[in-house]
Amino acid sequence: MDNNHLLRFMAVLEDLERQRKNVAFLFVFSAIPFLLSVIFLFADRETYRYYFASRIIFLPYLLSFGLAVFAGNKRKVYAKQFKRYVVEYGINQYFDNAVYSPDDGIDESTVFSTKMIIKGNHFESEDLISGLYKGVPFTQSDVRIQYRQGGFKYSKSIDYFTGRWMIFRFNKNFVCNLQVVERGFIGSRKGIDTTGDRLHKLELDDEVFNRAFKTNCENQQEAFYILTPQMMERMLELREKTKGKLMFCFLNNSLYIACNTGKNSFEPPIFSKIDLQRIMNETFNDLSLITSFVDSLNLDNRLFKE
Amino acid sequence: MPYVVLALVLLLFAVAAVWIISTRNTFAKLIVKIKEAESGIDVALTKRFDVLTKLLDVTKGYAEHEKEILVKTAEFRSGSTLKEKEQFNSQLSDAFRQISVVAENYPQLTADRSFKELQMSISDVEEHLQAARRAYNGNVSVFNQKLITFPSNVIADSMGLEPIEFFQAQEAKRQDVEMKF
Repeated sequence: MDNNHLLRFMAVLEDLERQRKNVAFLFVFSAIPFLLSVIFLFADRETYRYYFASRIIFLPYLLSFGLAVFAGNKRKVYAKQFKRYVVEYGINQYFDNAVYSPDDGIDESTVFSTKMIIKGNHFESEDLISGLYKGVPFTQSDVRIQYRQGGFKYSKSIDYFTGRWMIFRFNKNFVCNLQVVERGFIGSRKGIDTTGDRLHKLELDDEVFNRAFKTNCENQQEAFYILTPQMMERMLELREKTKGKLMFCFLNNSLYIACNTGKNSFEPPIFSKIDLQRIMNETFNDLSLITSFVDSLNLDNRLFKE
Repeated sequence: MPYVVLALVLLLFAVAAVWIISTRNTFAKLIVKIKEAESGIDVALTKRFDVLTKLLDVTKGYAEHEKEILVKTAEFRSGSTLKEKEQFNSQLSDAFRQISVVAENYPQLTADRSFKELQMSISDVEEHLQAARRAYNGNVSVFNQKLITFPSNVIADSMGLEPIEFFQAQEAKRQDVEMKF
């Protein structure tokens, strides 16, 4: 980075830090009227009746809510700029040629085309990264799938999936649909293929693997072709290293990986200072999940494709 | 009271009948799966033979004086027994080894594009064969386990079922590799 760029970048960081402080202040400030109204409830009964009778007690709630909404909007603007400048900088440092779109994500139809996750009635996707790593094209984004019930206040909300969704070109040609789901992955569908037919349950020749994962496939021999002993061993290693349950789907010469981390990646700090070094470390840590799959599963091995 | 006893006896018979039918069907399905896996091995062996034939054609063009390359490998016949398949697989492995030895003596052969492409496809063919073998052995394992465990072994005996052999690895591959420097 030359001096001019560096100076501009520092100025951007200062502006982001200023925005962060504003957002943090607004969130804290929005809580105050609500806390005051709670205090009123425990005040002297005569005073309480007076405030209740005059209906002033509802005003702090409204004020809190209004401030919270305002703070939320400010947070969105701050997050957008944070991702645009800081996260994108980190991604460009990590990958030679990656494209980052914070507002886009892997589309709903692609995610559900694997038929390995429950649909829910609410789908969110953001932080789309596309690029090449060791010659392997990849796409990843944060995905959130929920079932929401109720009106304005969402009285019930079930999280089926919150985490990272990745798509890689696989290094072997295959025709079948193969799903490998880590046991305990809440939100996974029970072995359905893309036409809606049930896949066959498969027990591999590795008991440790069978205890860790459930495997369903269209064609048994193709499944063994893909899941070699080395591949199974590496998938077990990834399971140990990765936070969150894993799900693999081999479909149309691509490998779809879902990692249920339970959190969104690349989110900006609100209540802690913007420390560039710490943020870069966290960003690289998040991005290393992509490279770890390519490295561990040897997806760059062109032996079977050329 | 006698009606209750009669009902219980009938219920027991019904449960036993359902279990017997279900177990017989399970064995029948496993046999079909094993046959399916065996045909997968046939396909893989045929593919391996085809690649070998193409490799031989490319090699002969370079090594016309090499009599060793005249591999007498009979074409794979479908419907052969498991032992015959294992023997055929072993012959193919020997043939591939001979070709590799010849290729080492002819650098222009190893540089030949067709030869390189065929060598690449060997790896893929080998992987498919390994997959077919593992699928076959997996199904045989399940079948043999059901055959010897109680109470399914009772039904197996009544059906006259025998344990099925696994598709064995080649003898040469089982031996320790001798490192020569």
